[in-house]
Amino acid sequence: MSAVAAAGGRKRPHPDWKLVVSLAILIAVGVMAICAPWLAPFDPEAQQILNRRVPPVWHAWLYGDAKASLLHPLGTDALGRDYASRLMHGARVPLLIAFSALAVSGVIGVTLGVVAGYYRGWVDTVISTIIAARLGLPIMIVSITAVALYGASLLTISFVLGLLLWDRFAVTVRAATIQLREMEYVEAARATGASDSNILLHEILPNLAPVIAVIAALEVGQAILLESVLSFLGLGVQPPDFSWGLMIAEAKVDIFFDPWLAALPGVCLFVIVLAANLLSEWLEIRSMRLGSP
Amino acid sequence: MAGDSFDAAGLAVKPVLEIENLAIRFPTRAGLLHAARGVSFSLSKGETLALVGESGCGKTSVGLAVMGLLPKHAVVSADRLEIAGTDIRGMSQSRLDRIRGSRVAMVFQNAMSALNPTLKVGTQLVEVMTRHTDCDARTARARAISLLERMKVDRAAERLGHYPHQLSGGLRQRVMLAMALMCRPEVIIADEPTTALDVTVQAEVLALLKELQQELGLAVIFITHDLGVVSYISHRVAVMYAGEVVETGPTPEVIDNPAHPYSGALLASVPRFIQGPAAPRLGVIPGAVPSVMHEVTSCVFLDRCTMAADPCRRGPIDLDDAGLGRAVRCVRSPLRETSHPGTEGRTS
Repeated sequence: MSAVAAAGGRKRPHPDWKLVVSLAILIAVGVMAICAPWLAPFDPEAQQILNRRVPPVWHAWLYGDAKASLLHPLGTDALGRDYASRLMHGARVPLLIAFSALAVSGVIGVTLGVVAGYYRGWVDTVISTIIAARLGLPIMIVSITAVALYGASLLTISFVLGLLLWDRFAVTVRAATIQLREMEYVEAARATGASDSNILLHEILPNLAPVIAVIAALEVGQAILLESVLSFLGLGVQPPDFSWGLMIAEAKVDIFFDPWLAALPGVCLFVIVLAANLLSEWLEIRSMRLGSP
Repeated sequence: MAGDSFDAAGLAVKPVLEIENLAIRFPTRAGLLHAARGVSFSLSKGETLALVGESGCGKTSVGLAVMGLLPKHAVVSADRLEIAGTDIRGMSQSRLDRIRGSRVAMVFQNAMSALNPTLKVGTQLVEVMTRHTDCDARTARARAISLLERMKVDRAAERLGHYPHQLSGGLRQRVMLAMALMCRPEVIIADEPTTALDVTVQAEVLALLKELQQELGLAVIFITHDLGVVSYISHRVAVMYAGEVVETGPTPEVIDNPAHPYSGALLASVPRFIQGPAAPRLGVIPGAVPSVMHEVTSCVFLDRCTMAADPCRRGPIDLDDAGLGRAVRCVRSPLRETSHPGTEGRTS
């Protein structure tokens, strides 16, 4: 390759494949979930008793299955409901829960982390103890207990996950804040008369943004997985509402006869969590390259 | 005291900064670290005092003490620590916040790390002013632009929209300077503001600082180890060694005729660009800086001094007036023996 081409390449670098792939997946899934009522070809709850367990369209191409057709590209389930429509609608609950849990856990974790890292001393000791206590709580058992006590609803699950998933935010933000508070521009801000709250909001928080973004992307994937686990165990949303986890649970009786019924929501879950992790990784590498803590 | 200043009419001017017997100690695991002891000086409007000394001599600690910015575990004591007549000893954080940036401001050594990388420089400049005065952002912005223009920054309004990493080192230092001046403070503490810059930019920034200082009547504490800079910028100089001021006086006199052996040795270790057989060897000071971990029982420069004698060992040496606005902490100083017969009884 010529030097000119190399220089040109550096000027406009190819966007990282991790960013492209993860954003494409996340945006596609997001649009599908939000617009499911308009995009889905069928009512996800309309049952067609005569059209039960229609296999996905590729069964027609691969095995010459006469029942499979483009009418139901991803087939139908045991009650004859269009599986493509159900998968689209089934993404709404996990995404909704993941993002509301993220908002709750982000606020708790970032606040605790910043306060502990900035003030140190006994405040730090207390918060570090709270973090350690939280890390000692088994997430599954606590969520099962909470659902048993307060019932399985969107709100309960969002809050339970939000109240349980802040530890990574707190630990990372605390470590980053300890580094940031020693920065010269924090001292410079203090030299211009900035109060603690000024410094926290204007000097520390904006510089934490890369760290927070990395953790947030990671936690979205984590929250989606946890919601699915809870739904799979029957502790999440209850029928007739449904999510990918619940669809896997319903399909498990048919797993030896119609494995695609369980595989399709499983693949969806795998892909979206992978996308979240890829995005987090890309953000992490980028923030390291920019020299942020 | 040597620091008294007089205005044109010969009347004593009330100093804007007065420090008397300032001591800064840091409790460490190995014991008490004396970062500064017995530091006294005063500073009037329009005057620049250079604090000179090698690394670790306590000059930065003194600057931070005036700002109230020393770490919480530092033990600061002083008979007097006043900015424009306001005693800042034991002042609460929130009252200190009100003084910092408005009456006394600081310029830091490294403008890259002293500016927040995530905020536009305009935001950072405006913030300083809106924090201390009830003026709106637009007025503050206009002041920022006029200050930057005053500092010969071209396209000043456009620069406000830039992030620190988009500016050159010289520009960043000018922004730092503008930030310090936003609220028209009386005292500026400049902690090696030009050390991180290359020589041409350094000269520009120094010239600018000198100009502004005269124009605005600022009192400046200029912390540096560069003696060339000292003679250019300062009216008076205080040489620090191991936490003590060993000599103070008007800059030209101290540079031309140092009264303390340490000042003399420091000046002799500045390289001179003379070639050929007549070239003098670069002066060095034998030995190392003494530990500041214990109380002073003799002259602090004793171990490295070529003039050391018996009286130097008898106890801590006082900073004594040597006439002509000079003071020196040396019993064997030629200045003290000639100009102050009164102290001779103690030296012999």
